[in-house]
Amino acid sequence: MQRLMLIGLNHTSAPLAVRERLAFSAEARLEAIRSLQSRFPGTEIVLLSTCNRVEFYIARPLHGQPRREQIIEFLVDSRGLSSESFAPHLYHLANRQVVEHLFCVAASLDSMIVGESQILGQVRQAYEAAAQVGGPGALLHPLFQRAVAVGKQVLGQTPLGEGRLSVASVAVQYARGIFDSFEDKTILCIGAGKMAAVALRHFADLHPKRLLVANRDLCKAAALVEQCGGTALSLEQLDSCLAEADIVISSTGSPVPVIVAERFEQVARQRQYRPIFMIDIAMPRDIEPAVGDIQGVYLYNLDDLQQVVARTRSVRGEAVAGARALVMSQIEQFVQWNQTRQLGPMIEQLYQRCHDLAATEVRRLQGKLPHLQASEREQLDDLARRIVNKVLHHPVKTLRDAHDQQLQATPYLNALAHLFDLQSPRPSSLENPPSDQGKASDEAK
Amino acid sequence: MTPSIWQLTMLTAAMVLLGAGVMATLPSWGPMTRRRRLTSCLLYYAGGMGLAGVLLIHSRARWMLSGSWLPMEDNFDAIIWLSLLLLGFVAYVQHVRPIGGLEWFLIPLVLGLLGAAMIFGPARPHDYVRTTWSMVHRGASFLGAASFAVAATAGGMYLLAHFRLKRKRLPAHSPLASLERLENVCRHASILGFALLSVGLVSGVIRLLDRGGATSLGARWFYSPKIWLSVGVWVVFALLLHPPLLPRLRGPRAAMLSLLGFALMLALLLAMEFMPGGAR
Repeated sequence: MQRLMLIGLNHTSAPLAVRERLAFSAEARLEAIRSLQSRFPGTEIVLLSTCNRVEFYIARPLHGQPRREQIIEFLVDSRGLSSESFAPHLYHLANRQVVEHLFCVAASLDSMIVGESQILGQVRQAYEAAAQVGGPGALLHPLFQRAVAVGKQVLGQTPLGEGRLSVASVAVQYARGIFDSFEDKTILCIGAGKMAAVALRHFADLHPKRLLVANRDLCKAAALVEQCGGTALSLEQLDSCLAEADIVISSTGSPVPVIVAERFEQVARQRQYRPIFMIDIAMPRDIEPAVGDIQGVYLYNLDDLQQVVARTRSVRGEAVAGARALVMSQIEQFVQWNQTRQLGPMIEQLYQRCHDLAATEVRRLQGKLPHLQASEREQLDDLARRIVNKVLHHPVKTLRDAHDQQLQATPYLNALAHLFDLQSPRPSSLENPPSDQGKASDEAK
Repeated sequence: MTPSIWQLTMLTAAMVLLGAGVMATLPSWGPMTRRRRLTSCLLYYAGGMGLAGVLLIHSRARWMLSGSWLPMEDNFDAIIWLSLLLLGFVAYVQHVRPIGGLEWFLIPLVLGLLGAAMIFGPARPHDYVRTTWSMVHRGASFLGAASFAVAATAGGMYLLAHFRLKRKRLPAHSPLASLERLENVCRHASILGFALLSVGLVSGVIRLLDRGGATSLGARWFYSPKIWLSVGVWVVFALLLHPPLLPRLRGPRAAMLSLLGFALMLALLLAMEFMPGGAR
């Protein structure tokens, strides 16, 4: 029987410096799943890696592998870090707790900015990426499909998603705290990804004098410039752009800082220490934190902006309570469905096993009694069948009662499987849990 | 001349109106609306009219007593004129192009000056030599002092906003003006104050040279604290106005210099009042 396990860290358990060292890029995520599957065959894995969390969702056999220590060992090997640097920040959840956590994550209830919609897309992306390499299986497929459906339902049907402040809009507010007008200002965007584009659009609405987009790939920079206006430049011209810029938005996928303090000190002298507002929304960070100590530099990273959003956004208590109630009801439905999914086939297996044993013994006895008549043989068959049914009646009733009363039937199922050597049910991986909106099958698309 | 009870009553009423004007703009009342802004401006104007009324009554009383009504002839008069200049600046700017938080810093300074007028006003006035250079000297010095007070206020606000931004403690919707605006106000006020102080210094030196030792500073005027403090203030603001030569001397450092210059100026005003032998 498969057991759920979650090992990870997030913005509440680990600082930005730890999270950015553990963050996985899209390619690294696929590689990690493949590597874990080769180490632990038969394990289902989905890896969720965003700016605020790195989480391994695992379904493994009871008493099977991997365990927490093995995941830590894997991270040490793959990220080249010492376990002391991140292990104390990890949390470990199992079974129902995993379901609760994932549903809350997808519904943005676990986000730094409650009600933000980005996390839902990230959960879906992580699931789809893992599915490409066969990461999820009989348990994680329906779990993630259901989680995405729940997230959609919460954000679409509760007030939680209303009146959202975004990181980019907060950055603009901070820029207004530094600069009085923007008609004479130059804005530089380093990177041309999705987040950079969103932030740049917000700043382009201020009608600055000049917009510059610097990117390693000039084509992507040109594409962004087509949307927002401005000039596309290559990263080789970064120093001259920094000397000219008043606002810098940085969001590259670089694993190392693009702007370091030593380099920027020279640029600051060229700028005559004019004030500059730098927004680093990359993970890992593009701008070395020491740059923020240079005179005239106001440097904000993702955590800073998100914390402001979380602080200043007025989250209505009833909206969160309503969302949580909805999520809890969905969790109950999923857990019930999962238990039923395992319960029925297992009871069937048990009856089949016992009836087969009884039938074998009856045939052996009938062989020793050749003078039995047909009616007597039937009565023997009937006797064996009735004995099996009566013996199994009470245990099976207890099992069903535990399920019906929403108690934990899992320990009973585990004991049953172990004592009678029954196999875990293997339903189709495309089997969807019940959805009152009937949309769960669409979420995997 | 000792101010009368009516003048002190009117002065107190003006202070209450100004205090109410500041209270109306506090962020604890909620987001600033146009109505609240208008109410506070009206209260400032009302307080200003009260101060103008006090000056009128005081000047009339002096004229009836000594035949002289010219402004700034005694402490009471001079301090209220200075307060009125600052108040006029606040009321005008906040009405035309508001600077977030300006009144929270400048109006308390005005209230402090008015309190000083109530305390030091009844003091015996010093002799006043009515010459053109004296008028130019005192007028330019007071206008310069008002400008430096504005520069120091903007500098103080700049430092507050700067440290909160650096420590990331500023809320996204801060009521304070932007750093750029505050730096501009500080620089422009410093330029104006520097020009006026320069005129005040030069006219004062001309007056000294013209009168020789026949001023309240005496023959050894060169060693007077008033002269050295005035030169000190002049040097501080000269530094403040040359960022192209000293590029690091901008932003928070320029704000600190403006506060230093204002502190020296306050020391100068106190020295003028309390130094033995009449430092005027």
